[in-house]
Amino acid sequence: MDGAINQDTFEWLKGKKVLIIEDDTLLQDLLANKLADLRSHGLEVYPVFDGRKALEVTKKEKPDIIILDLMLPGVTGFEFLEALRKDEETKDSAVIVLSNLNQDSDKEKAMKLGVKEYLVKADISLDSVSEKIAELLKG
Amino acid sequence: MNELLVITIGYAVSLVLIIWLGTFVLLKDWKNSTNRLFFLMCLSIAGFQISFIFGANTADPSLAYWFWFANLSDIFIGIFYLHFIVLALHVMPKYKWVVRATYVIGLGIFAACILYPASFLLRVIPKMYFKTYLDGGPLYAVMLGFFLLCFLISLIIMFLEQQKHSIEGKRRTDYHIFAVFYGLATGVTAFPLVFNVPFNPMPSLLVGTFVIPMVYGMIKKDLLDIRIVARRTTIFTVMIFLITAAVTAVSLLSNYLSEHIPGFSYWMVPFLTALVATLVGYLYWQKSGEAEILKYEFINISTHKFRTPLTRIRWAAEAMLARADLPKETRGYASHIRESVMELIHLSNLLMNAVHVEKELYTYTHTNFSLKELVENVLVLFQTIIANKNIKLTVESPSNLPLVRGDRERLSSALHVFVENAVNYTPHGGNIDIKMKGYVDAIYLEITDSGIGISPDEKMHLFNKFYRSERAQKIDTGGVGVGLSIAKNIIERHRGTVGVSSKGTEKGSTFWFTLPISVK
Repeated sequence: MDGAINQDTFEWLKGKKVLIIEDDTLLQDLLANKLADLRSHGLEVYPVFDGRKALEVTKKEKPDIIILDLMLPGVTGFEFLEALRKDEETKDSAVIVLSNLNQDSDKEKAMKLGVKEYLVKADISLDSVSEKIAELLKG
Repeated sequence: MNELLVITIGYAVSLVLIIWLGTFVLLKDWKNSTNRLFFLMCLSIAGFQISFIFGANTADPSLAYWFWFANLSDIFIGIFYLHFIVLALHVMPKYKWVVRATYVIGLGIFAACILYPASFLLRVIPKMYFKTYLDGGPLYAVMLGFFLLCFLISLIIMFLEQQKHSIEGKRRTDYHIFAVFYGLATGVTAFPLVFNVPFNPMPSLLVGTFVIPMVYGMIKKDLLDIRIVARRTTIFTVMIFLITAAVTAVSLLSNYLSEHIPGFSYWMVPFLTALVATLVGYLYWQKSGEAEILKYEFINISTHKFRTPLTRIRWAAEAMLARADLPKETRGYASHIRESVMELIHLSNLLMNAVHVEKELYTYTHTNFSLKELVENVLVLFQTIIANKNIKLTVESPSNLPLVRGDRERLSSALHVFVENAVNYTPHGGNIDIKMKGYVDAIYLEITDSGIGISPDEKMHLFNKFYRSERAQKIDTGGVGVGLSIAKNIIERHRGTVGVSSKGTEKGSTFWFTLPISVK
């Protein structure tokens, strides 16, 4: 991953925002730490632990990418996605699902709700997650 | 013993079996024309059986005449059977004129019988223990000749075409050949008496069972040896005898009780027997269903619950390994943690796949692709271990191998299982040979290894979920015994067949599967 990001071309990261919606604190920390390199070049990371709070932060910060877990306390990931798509302000937000739900029916449902990528946590390395984020941010 | 009662009940049981099997096959895949023809053939057999039941039990000759006249449905048994065989063997283009001629001649005979009923059925009179039985005319003999000719032509087609089929196709054809002989051996016993040859038609009550091997040939995916199918058909036959005997006993008991106990109605014994049988059947079905649901729920929940802690361990280990300042010894431990957790994730995925495949939760996306390329892609994953174990690998495939239509990802998983097993159980310096062949009905792939082989006992359970032979456990302790069961399920969802052969322990084994060429 470190090799994948060219030090000379970090300008595009400045001012970009990533919202991480993950209720597991350890996974939040590990992801945030993994993104430390990107943060040092201007990426802003917003960790959120539940769906309700996530909606508020999304409206306020307008993140470039939302990393979304599906099994969340209170408002679930799917409910969050539905609310996101209904709201004029947030309906076009880019979302990557990062969940351990891996049934085809879950994937299809998420894809129908317009997610960019569906990643299964246990099956993907931290490096790959941050590569995906960088890739999507770069467009 | 009332022979008329026995043969009537036997025919009725056979009739239920025929209608049930015909409907079962139709509902299994009603879009498939082979299945629809099978259903039509079952209906024609049912027509003959109904004709027999009502004709034999009707004393009024004018009414019985028309019941027996429905024997005409034999024409359609012959037509539909021949058409069915030609379709099932995928040889329609070659024999379409035979099929067309069969329809034309059959319908011609049918029309002649309708126009000249007296030449088909001379009269009905009491014969043997029957209230009435038919006296066949010249057109009846023509119909019978046509009926037997249809089966004879079908047999000739089967013998001619069998060699051009894959192992699976050959075995399916064996089922049909066996069915013809079985059906004729039982069914034709109804005809001598038609021409006043004093032969008891009792064995003809079993004619319904001849479709059992055919159903095996059509839908059963375990490529059972023909001897096993023959044995199972015999078991069904015995069951029909037993059911016939039980129903006869119930009937006689009802007669006895209604004659000797005032106010006892004839219908009470059959009604109570049916009620108890239904109740027992329902309780058994519910009990077995509950056990299945509990098993799957347990696996489903536990594997899902495992995944979050497994992710935490995996990512934490990765975060540790990403640190440059990690002491060498600690790095080694972190590396072990990562490898072990990856193994656990793999096992958890396997278990979850087993549940998903079994419960058919997967959505299959079908595309056309090259099986050869798929094999090459899967082999890349095993390159290192094959080199490390110094295994000699050969791959044979004809250049004109047709494309496979199926879910590439799922078939890749199935292939992965077969290759992984071959690699795991083949000793250092052994051989693995992969061969692909194209047949008229299927694409065939086999993987032969020089590994630990399979004993006949192990073979029986090999594709069962969670089965691992003791010898396999000694060699590969990490498995859970679901791979082959999943692979089999995936292949079968593609209408393919899976099989294995081995000369015995330590003599290597050959796993093979077929994927049918899609019929347009």
